[in-house]
Amino acid sequence: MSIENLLLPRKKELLKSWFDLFVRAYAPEAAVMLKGESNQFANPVGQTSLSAMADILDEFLNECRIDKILPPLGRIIRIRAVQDLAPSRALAFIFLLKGLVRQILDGETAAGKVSHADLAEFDERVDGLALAAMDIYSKCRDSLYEIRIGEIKNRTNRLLLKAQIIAEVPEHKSERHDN
Amino acid sequence: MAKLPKPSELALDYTLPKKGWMDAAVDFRPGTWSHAARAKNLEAAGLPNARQWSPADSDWKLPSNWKQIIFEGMRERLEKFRSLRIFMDICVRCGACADKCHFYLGSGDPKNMPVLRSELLRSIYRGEFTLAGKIMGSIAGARELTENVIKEWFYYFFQCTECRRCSVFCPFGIDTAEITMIGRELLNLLGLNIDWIAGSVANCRHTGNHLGIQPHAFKNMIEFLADEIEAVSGVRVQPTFNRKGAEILFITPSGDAFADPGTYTMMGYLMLFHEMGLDYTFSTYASEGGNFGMFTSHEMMKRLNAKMYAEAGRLGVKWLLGGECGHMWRAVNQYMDTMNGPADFLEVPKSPVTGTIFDNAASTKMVHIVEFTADLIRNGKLKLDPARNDNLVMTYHDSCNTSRGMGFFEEPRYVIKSVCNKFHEMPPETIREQTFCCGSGSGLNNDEFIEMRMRGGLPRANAVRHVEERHGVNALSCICAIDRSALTTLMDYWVPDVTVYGVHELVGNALVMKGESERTSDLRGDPLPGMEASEDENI
Repeated sequence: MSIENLLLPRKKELLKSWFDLFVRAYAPEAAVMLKGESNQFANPVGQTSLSAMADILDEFLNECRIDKILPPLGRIIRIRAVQDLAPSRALAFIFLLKGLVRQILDGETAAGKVSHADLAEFDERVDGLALAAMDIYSKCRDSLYEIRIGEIKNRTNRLLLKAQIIAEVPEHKSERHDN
Repeated sequence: MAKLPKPSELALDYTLPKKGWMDAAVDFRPGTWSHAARAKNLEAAGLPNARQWSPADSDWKLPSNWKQIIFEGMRERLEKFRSLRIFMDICVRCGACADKCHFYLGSGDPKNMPVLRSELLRSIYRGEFTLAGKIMGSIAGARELTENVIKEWFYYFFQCTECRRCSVFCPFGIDTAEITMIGRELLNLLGLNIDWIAGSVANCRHTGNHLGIQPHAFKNMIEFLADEIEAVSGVRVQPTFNRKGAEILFITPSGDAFADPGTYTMMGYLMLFHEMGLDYTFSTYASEGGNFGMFTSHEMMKRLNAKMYAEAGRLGVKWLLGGECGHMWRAVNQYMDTMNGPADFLEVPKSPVTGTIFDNAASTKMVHIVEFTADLIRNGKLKLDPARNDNLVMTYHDSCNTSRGMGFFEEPRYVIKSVCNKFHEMPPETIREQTFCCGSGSGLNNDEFIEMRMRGGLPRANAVRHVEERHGVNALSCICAIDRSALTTLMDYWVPDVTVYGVHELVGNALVMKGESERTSDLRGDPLPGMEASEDENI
């Protein structure tokens, strides 16, 4: 029996443990709120993260299709990318799955139902998830700088146009430019 | 030498200092603070201790008697503002406000909890101004004033957008925004401001608006927008400037004159005024509705507010019409009467089109444009074709200052629903008096603060994403210039398929003007719904 098959019936337990560890990156006061408040508008970080982690696990323990994993992974990484966390800290929660799975399947491992090869294969998938998260994180940071530049352009572009410091080619050849 | 950390150590080791909050020093990491006010801007605004410095420096070059300045500043304000003393004394730390702040929700930093942000000041108040604090010290919640406390104040009081969402939930009605305002005011006594605010204040006093756009450039810019209107509608609008004897002085944030997407909102105003034949003028000196003085000190707020009224007096207008702005309205509605008001030399505003008398503005003599337009629509004075906005599935963001600062909920919705056929509200706990801030208000909409702004704007963006997923919303409207700019950036990061509009841009799109040519594009030059094909033919 594969690790995934053993984990599927215990998905809730895995999710709860993973989320419990996830909120430990935050201050104790915040962790209480992130775990305790179930209204998604009163607790956007906690609820978005929890539902994204649930969606990630759903797919991760099944077919592990990249197009199904990237959207929820994106939801959670997009938040982490603007929080007061170094990239290593922002992504470290993903690697915790390795230890959690060993903990949860401790009995099965002892009973010989889980081999070293199974665990190694699972670890590799976790690494794949982390690498995908790294791509997303990097894109989020890039977009942050892009929108920062866009904002400055929006603020001043018309002034530059009007001051005739820049003269762009008009988009439409309408009559107004002939008048 | 430290070893390479393991993922478990990185993930589980909470990074903020484990010391008690009173003793933990702030770490100034880029992205979470704004640049320091430049000396020339502080000098131009008449603010003290102008010098070159940065929050990242260890030495902030405070005056030698800084402690005395702060204590005297606190004493003066505690005597002057009874509300401040009450806010200092009355909090029982019940925590009702704790999880209501958008910065706390987005960051998880406990010092962004309104109660704790206030404690930053309150702890010093207790230590210096209460007997219990003097005797029992930290047991009574008091602490000593040190340079680290000043740095902490700077960090957190410039991480609060003064949105007042927390105060809605306070059982005692403590206005935490006013605590931030006083905190910033005290910091300004030491020359501690951010340049985005100090520069705007200096330019506003000196030239008339935040960017320092000079009169000829301001006039040219508005006329440039008149050209754009003519290209879209075939109608030539004729705005006037500094015209004495006009009935109405129109003042709007300068962002509407030069910053996209505010410029499209300005086009909407100009079209509406032309269509109604309004006898109005712009002032090139009172060319700024925004009042960044409000984010500096009450004296500075008063000075910048006063120049609008000085211009009204100089030009001899009867009353003022104000554009889509946030904090200008809070200054006018909440504070102006006890600063510069009542403006008795002006007349109680009366719509020249409908005859409606705006009694609510009887003292300030200043009417909000959305109120004015809602009255026009209510009286059937506008010919509107909302189908021109049919490509937009709209929602509405209540700006903090117009909603919580003046109870302005129905008028904008009435106008939007009159000019847009498709409208969906965001969830009730995120709108009206409970609205979430854009995360960039109170002078924090600068680019170096972008990371913190994205954090603070997360709760708002989260609600927008909800209606995007549920109803296919692709447009977010608002009536505040900072919102128009900040929400555009916020959407780019969190909900990229949603575009931000000012309400009067939507009015301009829908307005059927006398003598207009067939409209094929909206005010942004994009094809109107159903006109996509004819646009192609033109090309």
